[in-house]
Amino acid sequence: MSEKTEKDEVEEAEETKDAKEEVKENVDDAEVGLVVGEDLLLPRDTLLSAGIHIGTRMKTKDMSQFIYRVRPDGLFVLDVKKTDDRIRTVAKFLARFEPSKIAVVSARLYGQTPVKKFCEVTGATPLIGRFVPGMFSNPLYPNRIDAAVVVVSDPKADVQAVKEAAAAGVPVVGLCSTDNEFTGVDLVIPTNNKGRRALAVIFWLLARQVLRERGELPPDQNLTQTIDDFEAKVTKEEET
Amino acid sequence: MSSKMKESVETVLNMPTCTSCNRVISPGQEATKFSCPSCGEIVIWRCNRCRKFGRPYQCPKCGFTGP
Ligand SMILES: [Zn+2]
Ligand SMILES: [Zn+2]
Repeated sequence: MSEKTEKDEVEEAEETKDAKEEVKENVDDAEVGLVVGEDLLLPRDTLLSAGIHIGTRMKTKDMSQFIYRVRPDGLFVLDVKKTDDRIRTVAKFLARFEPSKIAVVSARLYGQTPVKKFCEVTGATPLIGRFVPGMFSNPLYPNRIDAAVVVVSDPKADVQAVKEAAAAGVPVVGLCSTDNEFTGVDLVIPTNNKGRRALAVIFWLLARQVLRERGELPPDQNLTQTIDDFEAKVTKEEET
Repeated sequence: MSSKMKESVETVLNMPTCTSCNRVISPGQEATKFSCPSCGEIVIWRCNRCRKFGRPYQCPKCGFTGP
């Protein structure tokens, strides 16, 4: 897989912008996909208004099993029920590891606050910003992380971490949108992995579910941290 | 069967196989193993090729299919 190009950056920025605009239209999706009596980790409306189901205009063969439909404007939409299912499965999976040996990676800006918060809550080890090569694979590197499992916010943006996890024989959990491929990924959470609110909701839900699976939080109780706490703050400059 | 041959057959028998493609995973090969994400009772092995190509794996116990 090649390094991220300038074109990728521009596309990602556009996708994020798209995702924000699409949130307004999410009510339509809510009506289409409504199932009576369904049991989701959060109300369907909350998930949809955060845009966790909003993909991109690209669809990979790998991700087609998680795609619900394509909208008239060409945007691929994920099946929220499948996202919910996978959050539960991944939480069960992560709960079996020693907390500090779970490394959580995000090169992308909007993923960094959610990852930091997730790690604060669960005791996992955050790796945000530029991934230092050798972090998992070089036994001589003094700050090397002895990870037993790696979670990446986006296998495309965090490709170096995925490669090193492969070299180290460490399983990889990947947050994958409609445009991701499964290369190097052992377990997928299908979700919008670019939107600010979507990333906050996903990591908040995953943190809560991990604590529930560990028995550290009763099934009917919430985290003391809110979804807002998990969301990257936008500076004045970014808003204008 | 000579004892040497018997030994090598046993070595191969004891080597893990990839849950996706059933090929033997040799110790020098890049691969990964983890307990089934869903039931946690079966060890899933994935060889480097199956990981690279994102080939599906299925837990023989609970039927969970990944990635
Ligand atoms: Zn294989
Ligand atoms: Zn299983």
